[in-house]
Amino acid sequence: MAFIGKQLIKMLMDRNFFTKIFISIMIVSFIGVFGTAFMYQRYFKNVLTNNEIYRVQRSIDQTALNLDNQLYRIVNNVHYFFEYSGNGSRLMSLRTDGSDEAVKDRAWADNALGAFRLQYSSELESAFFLLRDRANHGRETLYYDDELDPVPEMDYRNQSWYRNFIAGRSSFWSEPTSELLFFQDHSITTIYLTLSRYDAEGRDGILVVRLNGKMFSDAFRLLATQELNLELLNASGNVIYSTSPGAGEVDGDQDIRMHADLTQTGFQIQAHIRRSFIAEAVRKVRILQPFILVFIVLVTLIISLVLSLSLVRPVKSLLRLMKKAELGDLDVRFNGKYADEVGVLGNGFNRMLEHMTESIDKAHDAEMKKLNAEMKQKDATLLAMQNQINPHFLYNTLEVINCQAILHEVPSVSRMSKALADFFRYSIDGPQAEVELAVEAAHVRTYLDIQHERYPELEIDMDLSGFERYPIIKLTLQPVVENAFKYAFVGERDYYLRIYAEDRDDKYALCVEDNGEGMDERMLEQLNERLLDDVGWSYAGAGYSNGIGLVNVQNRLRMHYGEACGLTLSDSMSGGILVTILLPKRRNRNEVLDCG
Amino acid sequence: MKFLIVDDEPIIRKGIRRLLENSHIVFAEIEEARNGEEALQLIASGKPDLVVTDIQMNVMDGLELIGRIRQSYADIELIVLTGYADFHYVQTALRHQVADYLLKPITQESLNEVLSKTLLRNPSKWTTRMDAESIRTMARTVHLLAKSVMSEQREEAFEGLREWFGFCGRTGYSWSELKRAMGHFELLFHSELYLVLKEMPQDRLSGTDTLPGSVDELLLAWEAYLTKLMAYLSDKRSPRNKRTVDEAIRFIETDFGSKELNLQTIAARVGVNAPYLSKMFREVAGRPITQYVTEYRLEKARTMLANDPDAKIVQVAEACGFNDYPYFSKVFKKHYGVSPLEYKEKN
Repeated sequence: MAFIGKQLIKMLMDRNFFTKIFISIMIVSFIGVFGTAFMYQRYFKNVLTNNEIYRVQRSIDQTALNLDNQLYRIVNNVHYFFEYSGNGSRLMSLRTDGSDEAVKDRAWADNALGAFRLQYSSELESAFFLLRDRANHGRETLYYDDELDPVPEMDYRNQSWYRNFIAGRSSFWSEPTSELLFFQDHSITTIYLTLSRYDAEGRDGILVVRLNGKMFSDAFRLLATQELNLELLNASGNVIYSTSPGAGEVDGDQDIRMHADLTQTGFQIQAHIRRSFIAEAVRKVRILQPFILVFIVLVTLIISLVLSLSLVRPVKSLLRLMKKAELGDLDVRFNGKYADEVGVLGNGFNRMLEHMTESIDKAHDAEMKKLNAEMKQKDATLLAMQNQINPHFLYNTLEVINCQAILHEVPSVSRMSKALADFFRYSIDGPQAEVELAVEAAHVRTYLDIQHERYPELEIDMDLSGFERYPIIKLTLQPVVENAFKYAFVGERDYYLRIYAEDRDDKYALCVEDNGEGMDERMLEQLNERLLDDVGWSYAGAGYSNGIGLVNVQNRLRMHYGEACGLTLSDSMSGGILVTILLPKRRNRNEVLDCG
Repeated sequence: MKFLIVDDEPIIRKGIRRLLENSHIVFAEIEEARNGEEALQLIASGKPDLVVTDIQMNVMDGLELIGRIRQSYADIELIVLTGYADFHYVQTALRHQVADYLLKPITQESLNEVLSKTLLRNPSKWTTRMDAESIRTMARTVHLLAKSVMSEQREEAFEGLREWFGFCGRTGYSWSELKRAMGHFELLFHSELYLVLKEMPQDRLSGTDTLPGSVDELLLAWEAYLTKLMAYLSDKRSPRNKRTVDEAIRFIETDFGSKELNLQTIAARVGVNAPYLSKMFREVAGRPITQYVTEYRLEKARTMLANDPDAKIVQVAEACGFNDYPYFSKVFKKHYGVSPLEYKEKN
């Protein structure tokens, strides 16, 4: 697991800077955005749910209060009607003996009941009064107004309120029932409101009022929905009215249960609201979220991109500048707009470049000074030598030797003295400068003539035809040839020396090849390195030979023609060394080295 | 012709005298002076045609001498002896009063060249007893003659020579006048020839045993001389090289096993000198003879190693003329990419 983590981190860290920053910003933003969204959603759901519940509860409470008041008013009115209609309790003292008085009383009672019923027609369906005369063998008289049409097959003696009345356990509110007595009793299920009085002057009486079921449905009509199920229960817990009678028992888990008590009637409203309903309400809000989410993601991406770009751009430009500097352009500078780390880094970079340029200049100056000093020293030495060897004396002496040789007919000595004089003349006379290759080649021939006396068996093969007009610095080919004599031809073999030229586009190569002793690869490499090395500028490195060594030749060639020209050493096919001198075909016009 | 040598070194004077005597120009008289003063005295007693002088001398140095000579004698040709190659500086100092300069040490070649140039520059100076017309004709004839000889145009050369003799006849030269004129003619001809040939053939007209006694004999002698000259040139240019090189290669093929085989021995064997052979060989074979020998030996050694599995490498190397085993091994590896031992094991 840790390994995978490491791998992932490595994979990320190996990406380029832009990707890293982009991914980092994205991760941070998404964690923030999604975290907030998630928290908010949780909280929102709860709030929404609670809010919904609270709202429903309030409505239920209100409904309960209204209903309670309505019922209380009915009860009051019924009670009042029962107690005070006529003069005092006239209902209880209705005459039942079949006399005219009795007929009149009945007409009054019927009228009074009819008036009462009409007065509360919206709350009541029917109202009737039963009077039972104990004295008259328990004769019973049922009073009701003539607007009510009794259902013929219904017998009130079978009804529960009657049984309770007879049994003397009449309660104020009846249990919910579907019993009915008149055609006007529309409600299927309702409750009766009964007021009974026992043994008043030998009579028992009960006033029964059938409540209109529509009253309940009206009370709940606006509140109840598919999702909100309301029940009205009486004190003993039986359902008086249900908004969805078919629903039966509700699942306690899926529903939220609420209740409100009707304090005066002792009833209770129970409400079941579906949890899914609340969830639905919350979901309605959540439907918007995918769009918001996509929008947020897009915005986050764009911001991440812009941020990453703005962070990375200076780094990238700094990187580009560093690459340039690496390639040798030390004039580049970083323009940082801001004082952040990149700006500081850029300033550091600028300072570094300035320091570098400065130190390079300094080093170059110092090197040039040193070089100049050395050159001057060298020139001074040479001058001293030149002065010491009075040319007149030198040439005169050689002339004397020459003439002696002529007189004694020793042509080889004559040739030697001539060659020696030419050799000195070329080396000493005039300032150091460019000459045509033919001139330097003639000097090499002079040198070879001199050496020929010492190495008569050495075969020399020099062919520079076609290249004679090209320029070369004086005294550069000859020391290379001289070098071969110093190091190559030290054994007892048949040696040869080839000097030839090759075309190299805008340059030409002078090749000096020997079949001499050669050197091992490591030494060859070292020597080549020293020749290529800029430190090789120093004359101190030229301890290689007493006179003018290869390093010296290299320095002079490079000073004159630049780094592209100069010497390289390699193995020759014949077992010796092949020295290649690369030179330009065109003269170097803007530089004249004057050592005089 | 009269020549004056001015130098404070007796040896040098003697040397120059020797060189003058060996040159293609015959001088009637050669005088020597130790310094400028002496030279002036000698000049006063008998005017020379040519003076060669050193610059640095004790009593009167060369520069002063030249100045003094020029004051009195405009027609003496002056040649300066100098150690410096940068003659322009000397010449400027002398305001172009000198004809030429000789670099120390003087060689036969440089002296001949300077003399030729000086003579040809103004032939009338040496031929004072001839009229200008004759001198012009002579100079033209000599020039054409030298060209014809160089290009080995025998008929053209003879034609030119006969025309010159005809001219002399028409002009009405006496025998002695003709002999003198022919002396000048020879002088100029040799000078011309020297400048193009850069050497002097050994055979010389004046070297013939019998002196010509008549105009016809003189003409015949000249014709014979020119014929010889052209034969010499023809021989010099003949494609003998190929033959020589072939011979050298044959020699290498038979004697490659000898340690003594080298440029010198081969040159001695084929009868030419070593530098000449080296040059010829390279021209024909395209590489130095020493390289050729090495490569031939290597190839032989390789064949021997390939053919004889029992051969010892050291012996093979020795048999092929390598006296240096490490060198043999090194060059073998260079050429064939593997050391002799590896090569042998592979085969």
